[in-house]
Amino acid sequence: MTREGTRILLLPRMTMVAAALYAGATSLEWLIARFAGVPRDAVFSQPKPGLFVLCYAAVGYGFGRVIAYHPGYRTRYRQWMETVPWRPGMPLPLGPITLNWRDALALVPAALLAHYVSGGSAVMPLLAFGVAHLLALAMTEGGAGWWGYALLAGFAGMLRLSDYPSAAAAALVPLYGVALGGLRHGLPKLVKPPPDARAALGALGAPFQQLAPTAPSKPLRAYRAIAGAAMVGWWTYCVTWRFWPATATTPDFAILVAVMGLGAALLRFGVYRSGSNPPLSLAGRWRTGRWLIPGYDTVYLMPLATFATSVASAAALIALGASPAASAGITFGLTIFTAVMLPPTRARWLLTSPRQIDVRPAGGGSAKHVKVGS
Amino acid sequence: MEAMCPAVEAVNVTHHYGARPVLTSVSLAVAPGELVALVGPNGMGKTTLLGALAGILSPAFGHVRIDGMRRRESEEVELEIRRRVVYLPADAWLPSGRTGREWVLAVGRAWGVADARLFDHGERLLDLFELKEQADQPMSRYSTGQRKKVALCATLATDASILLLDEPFSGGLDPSGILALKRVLQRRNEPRGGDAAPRKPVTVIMSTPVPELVEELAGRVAVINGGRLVAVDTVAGLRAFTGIAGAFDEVYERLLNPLKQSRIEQYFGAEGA
Repeated sequence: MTREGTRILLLPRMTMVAAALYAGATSLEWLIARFAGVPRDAVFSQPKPGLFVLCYAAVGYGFGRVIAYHPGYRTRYRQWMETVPWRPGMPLPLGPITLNWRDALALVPAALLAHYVSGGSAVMPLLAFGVAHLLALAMTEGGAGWWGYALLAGFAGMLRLSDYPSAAAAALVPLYGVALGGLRHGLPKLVKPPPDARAALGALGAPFQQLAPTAPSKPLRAYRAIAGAAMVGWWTYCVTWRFWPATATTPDFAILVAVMGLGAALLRFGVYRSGSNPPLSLAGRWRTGRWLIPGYDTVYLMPLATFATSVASAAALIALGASPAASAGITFGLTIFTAVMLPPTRARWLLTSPRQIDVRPAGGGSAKHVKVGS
Repeated sequence: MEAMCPAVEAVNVTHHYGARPVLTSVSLAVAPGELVALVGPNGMGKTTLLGALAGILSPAFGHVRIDGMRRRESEEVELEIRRRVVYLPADAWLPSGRTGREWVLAVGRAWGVADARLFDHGERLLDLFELKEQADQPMSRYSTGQRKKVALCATLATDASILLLDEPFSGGLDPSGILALKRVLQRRNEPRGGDAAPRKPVTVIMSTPVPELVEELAGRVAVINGGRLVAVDTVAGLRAFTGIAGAFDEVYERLLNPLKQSRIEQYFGAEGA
């Protein structure tokens, strides 16, 4: 094999380590069975240690296959590519991110070993590889946007199909198509990023950061909020369906809903309140009799409304006889939608509420700043 | 229409920390192009008033207008106000890992100054404040005075038409830096070489504990004591009001401590007797 071929085979050292671990685990299975004087299957139930090693190695290979060649994971590679005449459609200089025949050299033996040596399903290492590979693609900047969204939704769907490993593995094929679409769409943007005014500003120190004439955040469009909430709801449904114990009771579910609602409410509160102080302390309100400061107190009231939405939605769905998984999915989706869409927008609150701006350094804290006058 | 309204206007601004009043019904109107010095004893509300004008604080009662626009009225208005105003507190924080030049340019860009203008102006400011040699070093290596100078450079690089400066002459500024800042403030409304178009008059509100600087720079002086504006007038007007023709610190003392001079005289008189 040529030098390039060896390189593209990927992580040869790690492959050797995985092979050694697999050989060790399988030998251990044989030895223990021999000492016990019984067949291997009587000592170990599936998955056996050897199959575990194979699946973990497949996960590592799946991630490594993307991380090694994707400019989104390698800053210096990306910066270098921005300086060379690379254009979308040309092969990537260090090697392809997409799968090719060389990957079969690693995956086919893993599937055969899983079936013939470890006595498990040949699909298992392929499934582990596929999920890790697609997850790595979805998490890159280039895989973001609606393509990444579709991938994430697909992963949750695979969880829903987890009772049928072959069907779950088959779902990887269309998801891989989605990932390729995302890669084709995202890579050019990643390598030639559009100028981002906010990123170019960097840290301005205090109070310049807080008082700069730039909008603190872009308003969230309703369709994005709906899409995000739907994704959260879908994941919650799939995870709850897969892992929620059949013996769980209604109080258990109430605790789950309370935790989710509280989490969403605190998230909203933290995102808004960060960098601000109240115009009056509690003691100040007490002494001045100004118990309510309308423009400011929405920062407390809206998280409370978020939490109330969560509780009300769950109670209504349970009363209507919905399953815990469906109730949890719809409730958490609705809660997230409420948390992000209840007025005012963050930018509006930051720019118009009677808050006191905290002029300590933002984003990095005082350790990364020096003070004038000291 | 806009030219007729004050550049900065505080209307009945009242603020309290907890239940402790810090500003009580402060009203002040500053015309475009004017330089007003805020003077007064420590802890009497100068920084709080500047903070309210700058938008750091939201007054408990009353409001602030900038070029006729009310602060925090709407997102668009607040952003427009922020484009016109820059605030330099006495204790600003500078990102320690960035070089002075990078930071000055970043602040100028944040205020929307065009790169061509910013590069030229930033360079001249660094030169004026004798920071050219240190400009490419991280600000963590700057001395106290150099930090103050680079903060002034960044403030001026914004080309904002309203400067709110809290004790700009303190914080370790050396005589050369003081002279540079004095000249910049005195000549703030002269046309400059790099200006592509006529500029809006630059309005300055600054606090300072140094009476000599007040005399030299301020068009008007706002004397604040106990959270209230005691007097707002020109230096000559304050002299006439107090009947003191001598140094400005005597005028200042008369306004803030009317009994101080008589107590001093009483003290020495008693000793002589």
